[in-house]
Amino acid sequence: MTHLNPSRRFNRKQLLAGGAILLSLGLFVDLRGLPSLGAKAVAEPCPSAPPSQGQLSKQQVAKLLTVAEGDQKDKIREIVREPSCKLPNLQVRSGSMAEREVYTLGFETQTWIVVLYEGNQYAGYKFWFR
Amino acid sequence: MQGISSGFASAGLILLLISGCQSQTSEPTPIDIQLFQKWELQPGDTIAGYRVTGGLGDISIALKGSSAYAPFDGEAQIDQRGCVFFSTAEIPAYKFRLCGLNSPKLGTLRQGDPIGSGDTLQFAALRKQPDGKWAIVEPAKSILERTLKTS
Repeated sequence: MTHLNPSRRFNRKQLLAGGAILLSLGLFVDLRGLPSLGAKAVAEPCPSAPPSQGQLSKQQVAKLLTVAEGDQKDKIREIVREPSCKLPNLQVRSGSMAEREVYTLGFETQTWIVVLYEGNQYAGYKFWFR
Repeated sequence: MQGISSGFASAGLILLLISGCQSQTSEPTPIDIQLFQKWELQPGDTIAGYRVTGGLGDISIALKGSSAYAPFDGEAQIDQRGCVFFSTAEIPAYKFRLCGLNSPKLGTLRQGDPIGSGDTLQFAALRKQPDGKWAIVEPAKSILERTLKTS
Protein backbone atom coordinates (compact mmCIF):
# COMPACT_ATOMS: atom_id res chain seq x y z
CA MET A 1 0.00 0.00 0.00
CA THR A 2 1.45 3.35 -0.99
CA HIS A 3 0.91 6.70 0.73
CA LEU A 4 1.16 9.89 -1.22
CA ASN A 5 3.30 12.66 0.26
CA PRO A 6 0.88 15.66 0.61
CA SER A 7 3.55 18.12 -0.55
CA ARG A 8 3.91 16.21 -3.84
CA ARG A 9 0.20 16.09 -4.64
CA PHE A 10 0.34 19.61 -6.12
CA ASN A 11 2.95 21.06 -8.38
CA ARG A 12 4.17 24.68 -8.14
CA LYS A 13 1.82 25.97 -10.87
CA GLN A 14 -1.22 24.42 -9.19
CA LEU A 15 -0.23 25.97 -5.86
CA LEU A 16 0.23 29.41 -7.51
CA ALA A 17 -3.16 29.11 -9.23
CA GLY A 18 -4.75 28.17 -5.92
CA GLY A 19 -3.11 31.18 -4.27
CA ALA A 20 -4.42 33.49 -7.00
CA ILE A 21 -7.96 32.15 -6.53
CA LEU A 22 -7.75 32.68 -2.77
CA LEU A 23 -6.50 36.24 -3.34
CA SER A 24 -9.42 36.93 -5.68
CA LEU A 25 -11.83 35.69 -3.02
CA GLY A 26 -10.13 37.87 -0.43
CA LEU A 27 -10.50 40.91 -2.68
CA PHE A 28 -14.13 40.08 -3.28
CA VAL A 29 -14.95 39.84 0.43
CA ASP A 30 -13.21 43.01 1.59
CA LEU A 31 -10.02 44.62 0.34
CA ARG A 32 -9.30 46.22 3.68
CA GLY A 33 -9.37 42.89 5.47
CA LEU A 34 -6.18 41.63 3.83
CA PRO A 35 -3.22 41.70 6.22
CA SER A 36 -0.68 43.23 3.81
CA LEU A 37 -2.71 46.37 3.19
CA GLY A 38 -0.90 49.07 4.99
CA ALA A 39 -1.18 52.80 5.33
CA LYS A 40 -4.27 54.81 4.63
CA ALA A 41 -4.07 58.04 2.72
CA VAL A 42 -6.82 60.62 2.54
CA ALA A 43 -6.32 62.39 -0.79
CA GLU A 44 -6.95 61.02 -4.27
CA PRO A 45 -3.73 60.10 -6.09
CA CYS A 46 -4.87 60.87 -9.67
CA PRO A 47 -7.37 63.76 -9.47
CA SER A 48 -7.18 64.69 -13.15
CA ALA A 49 -7.09 61.21 -14.72
CA PRO A 50 -10.10 59.96 -16.74
CA PRO A 51 -11.99 57.38 -14.60
CA SER A 52 -11.54 54.54 -17.11
CA GLN A 53 -7.79 55.04 -17.55
CA GLY A 54 -5.61 52.49 -15.78
CA GLN A 55 -8.60 50.60 -14.40
CA LEU A 56 -7.88 47.06 -13.21
CA SER A 57 -10.20 44.08 -12.90
CA LYS A 58 -10.15 41.67 -9.95
CA GLN A 59 -8.36 39.12 -12.10
CA GLN A 60 -5.63 41.63 -12.99
CA VAL A 61 -5.16 42.60 -9.33
CA ALA A 62 -5.01 38.95 -8.27
CA LYS A 63 -2.32 38.30 -10.92
CA LEU A 64 -0.42 41.46 -9.98
CA LEU A 65 -0.21 40.37 -6.34
CA THR A 66 1.50 37.11 -7.33
CA VAL A 67 4.47 38.89 -8.95
CA ALA A 68 7.49 38.62 -6.66
CA GLU A 69 9.29 41.74 -5.46
CA GLY A 70 12.54 42.02 -7.39
CA ASP A 71 11.10 40.69 -10.67
CA GLN A 72 11.54 42.57 -13.93
CA LYS A 73 9.20 45.46 -14.74
CA ASP A 74 8.07 43.52 -17.85
CA LYS A 75 6.30 40.99 -15.61
CA ILE A 76 3.97 43.75 -14.42
CA ARG A 77 3.59 45.14 -17.93
CA GLU A 78 2.34 41.72 -19.10
CA ILE A 79 -0.56 42.05 -16.65
CA VAL A 80 -1.40 45.76 -16.69
CA ARG A 81 -1.09 48.46 -19.34
CA GLU A 82 -1.06 52.25 -18.96
CA PRO A 83 -1.54 53.49 -15.38
CA SER A 84 -4.13 56.06 -14.29
CA CYS A 85 -1.27 58.40 -13.48
CA LYS A 86 2.33 58.54 -12.38
CA LEU A 87 3.46 60.08 -9.11
CA PRO A 88 6.55 62.29 -9.28
CA ASN A 89 9.80 60.34 -9.31
CA LEU A 90 11.35 60.22 -5.87
CA GLN A 91 14.66 59.22 -4.36
CA VAL A 92 13.86 57.07 -1.34
CA ARG A 93 17.24 55.45 -0.92
CA SER A 94 20.49 57.05 -1.84
CA GLY A 95 21.57 56.54 -5.46
CA SER A 96 18.29 55.07 -6.73
CA MET A 97 15.31 56.84 -8.29
CA ALA A 98 11.87 55.38 -7.56
CA GLU A 99 9.22 55.46 -10.27
CA ARG A 100 5.63 55.17 -9.04
CA GLU A 101 2.55 54.27 -11.08
CA VAL A 102 -1.04 54.33 -9.87
CA TYR A 103 -3.90 52.12 -11.05
CA THR A 104 -7.61 52.46 -10.31
CA LEU A 105 -9.63 49.46 -9.18
CA GLY A 106 -12.72 49.02 -11.35
CA PHE A 107 -14.56 47.20 -8.55
CA GLU A 108 -13.59 49.48 -5.63
CA THR A 109 -13.80 53.11 -6.66
CA GLN A 110 -12.25 54.58 -3.51
CA THR A 111 -9.15 52.39 -3.67
CA TRP A 112 -6.03 52.60 -5.83
CA ILE A 113 -2.92 50.48 -6.13
CA VAL A 114 0.50 52.11 -6.24
CA VAL A 115 3.34 50.18 -7.89
CA LEU A 116 6.97 51.16 -7.30
CA TYR A 117 9.88 50.43 -9.63
CA GLU A 118 13.58 51.11 -9.23
CA GLY A 119 15.31 50.98 -12.59
CA ASN A 120 13.91 47.95 -14.39
CA GLN A 121 13.03 46.21 -11.15
CA TYR A 122 9.58 45.91 -9.59
CA ALA A 123 9.96 46.74 -5.88
CA GLY A 124 6.41 46.31 -4.57
CA TYR A 125 2.86 47.59 -4.33
CA LYS A 126 0.63 49.21 -1.76
CA PHE A 127 -3.09 49.94 -1.64
CA TRP A 128 -4.15 53.57 -1.30
CA PHE A 129 -7.52 54.15 0.36
CA ARG A 130 -9.46 57.34 0.39
CA MET B 1 -34.76 32.06 41.39
CA GLN B 2 -32.03 29.90 39.98
CA GLY B 3 -33.03 31.05 36.49
CA ILE B 4 -32.71 34.72 37.50
CA SER B 5 -29.27 34.28 39.09
CA SER B 6 -27.98 32.34 36.10
CA GLY B 7 -29.34 35.15 33.90
CA PHE B 8 -27.38 37.72 35.92
CA ALA B 9 -24.29 35.52 35.70
CA SER B 10 -24.64 35.34 31.91
CA ALA B 11 -25.13 39.11 31.64
CA GLY B 12 -22.07 39.66 33.85
CA LEU B 13 -20.02 37.32 31.70
CA ILE B 14 -21.10 39.16 28.53
CA LEU B 15 -20.20 42.53 30.12
CA LEU B 16 -16.82 41.15 31.16
CA LEU B 17 -16.18 39.91 27.64
CA ILE B 18 -17.19 43.26 26.15
CA SER B 19 -15.00 45.26 28.55
CA GLY B 20 -12.17 42.80 27.93
CA CYS B 21 -12.44 43.36 24.19
CA GLN B 22 -12.53 47.14 24.63
CA SER B 23 -9.39 47.21 26.77
CA GLN B 24 -7.60 45.08 24.17
CA THR B 25 -8.46 47.34 21.24
CA SER B 26 -7.36 50.59 22.96
CA GLU B 27 -3.68 49.50 23.04
CA PRO B 28 -2.06 49.20 19.58
CA THR B 29 -0.52 45.80 19.01
CA PRO B 30 3.26 46.03 18.48
CA ILE B 31 4.38 44.95 15.03
CA ASP B 32 7.10 42.42 14.41
CA ILE B 33 9.45 43.42 11.58
CA GLN B 34 11.89 40.76 10.45
CA LEU B 35 15.17 42.37 9.42
CA PHE B 36 17.16 40.99 6.51
CA GLN B 37 20.45 41.77 8.22
CA LYS B 38 21.29 39.49 11.12
CA TRP B 39 23.22 41.82 13.38
CA GLU B 40 23.72 40.85 17.00
CA LEU B 41 22.75 44.19 18.53
CA GLN B 42 19.78 46.32 17.60
CA PRO B 43 18.17 49.41 19.12
CA GLY B 44 16.32 48.41 22.27
CA ASP B 45 18.76 45.62 23.24
CA THR B 46 20.81 45.76 26.43
CA ILE B 47 24.56 45.29 26.72
CA ALA B 48 26.51 45.27 30.02
CA GLY B 49 23.51 46.86 31.70
CA TYR B 50 23.22 49.69 29.17
CA ARG B 51 20.44 50.13 26.64
CA VAL B 52 21.43 50.10 22.96
CA THR B 53 19.89 53.20 21.36
CA GLY B 54 21.14 52.77 17.77
CA GLY B 55 22.65 50.14 15.54
CA LEU B 56 24.43 49.60 12.24
CA GLY B 57 22.46 51.34 9.48
CA ASP B 58 20.90 54.00 11.70
CA ILE B 59 21.51 57.69 11.02
CA SER B 60 21.74 59.54 14.33
CA ILE B 61 20.21 63.00 14.40
CA ALA B 62 20.71 65.37 17.36
CA LEU B 63 17.07 66.42 17.77
CA LYS B 64 17.75 68.03 21.17
CA GLY B 65 14.09 67.80 22.14
CA SER B 66 12.63 68.76 18.78
CA SER B 67 10.06 66.69 16.91
CA ALA B 68 10.23 64.30 13.98
CA TYR B 69 7.33 64.63 11.53
CA ALA B 70 5.39 62.35 9.23
CA PRO B 71 7.15 62.73 5.85
CA PHE B 72 3.95 61.75 3.96
CA ASP B 73 0.34 60.87 4.74
CA GLY B 74 0.69 57.44 6.29
CA GLU B 75 0.61 55.24 9.34
CA ALA B 76 2.89 54.95 12.38
CA GLN B 77 3.20 51.66 14.25
CA ILE B 78 5.42 50.64 17.15
CA ASP B 79 7.42 47.47 17.78
CA GLN B 80 8.29 45.77 21.04
CA ARG B 81 11.61 47.64 21.23
CA GLY B 82 9.75 50.97 21.22
CA CYS B 83 10.81 52.00 17.71
CA VAL B 84 8.26 53.60 15.38
CA PHE B 85 7.76 52.21 11.88
CA PHE B 86 6.26 54.69 9.42
CA SER B 87 4.75 53.50 6.15
CA THR B 88 2.86 55.31 3.43
CA ALA B 89 0.75 54.27 0.44
CA GLU B 90 2.82 56.75 -1.58
CA ILE B 91 5.98 54.64 -1.23
CA PRO B 92 5.36 50.92 -1.57
CA ALA B 93 8.11 48.51 -0.52
CA TYR B 94 9.59 50.88 2.05
CA LYS B 95 9.23 51.59 5.76
CA PHE B 96 11.08 54.12 7.87
CA ARG B 97 12.23 53.21 11.37
CA LEU B 98 12.45 55.96 13.99
CA CYS B 99 13.96 55.03 17.35
CA GLY B 100 14.51 57.31 20.34
CA LEU B 101 11.19 59.20 20.27
CA ASN B 102 9.30 59.80 23.51
CA SER B 103 5.54 59.08 23.63
CA PRO B 104 5.20 58.69 19.85
CA LYS B 105 1.90 59.34 18.13
CA LEU B 106 0.69 56.19 16.43
CA GLY B 107 -1.96 55.39 13.86
CA THR B 108 -2.97 57.39 10.80
CA LEU B 109 -0.97 60.60 10.35
CA ARG B 110 -1.05 63.45 7.84
CA GLN B 111 2.14 64.76 6.28
CA GLY B 112 3.77 67.18 8.72
CA ASP B 113 2.09 65.76 11.82
CA PRO B 114 4.59 65.37 14.68
CA ILE B 115 5.39 61.72 15.39
CA GLY B 116 7.30 62.41 18.60
CA SER B 117 10.25 64.26 20.07
CA GLY B 118 13.50 63.16 21.66
CA ASP B 119 17.14 63.94 22.32
CA THR B 120 18.57 61.76 19.55
CA LEU B 121 16.64 60.26 16.64
CA GLN B 122 17.94 57.02 15.13
CA PHE B 123 16.57 56.90 11.59
CA ALA B 124 16.71 53.91 9.24
CA ALA B 125 15.11 53.19 5.86
CA LEU B 126 13.94 49.64 5.24
CA ARG B 127 13.26 48.07 1.86
CA LYS B 128 11.13 44.96 1.45
CA GLN B 129 12.90 41.88 0.13
CA PRO B 130 11.40 39.06 -1.95
CA ASP B 131 11.41 36.77 1.12
CA GLY B 132 9.27 39.25 3.10
CA LYS B 133 12.13 40.49 5.29
CA TRP B 134 13.17 44.13 5.46
CA ALA B 135 16.70 45.24 4.52
CA ILE B 136 18.22 48.39 6.00
CA VAL B 137 19.27 50.68 3.13
CA GLU B 138 20.83 54.13 2.97
CA PRO B 139 18.03 56.72 3.02
CA ALA B 140 18.02 59.63 0.58
CA LYS B 141 18.63 63.01 2.18
CA SER B 142 15.27 64.30 0.89
CA ILE B 143 13.39 61.72 3.00
CA LEU B 144 15.32 62.74 6.11
CA GLU B 145 14.64 66.42 5.40
CA ARG B 146 10.91 65.74 5.11
CA THR B 147 11.05 63.88 8.45
CA LEU B 148 12.82 66.74 10.22
CA LYS B 149 10.71 69.63 8.90
CA THR B 150 6.97 70.24 9.13
CA SER B 151 6.59 70.78 5.38
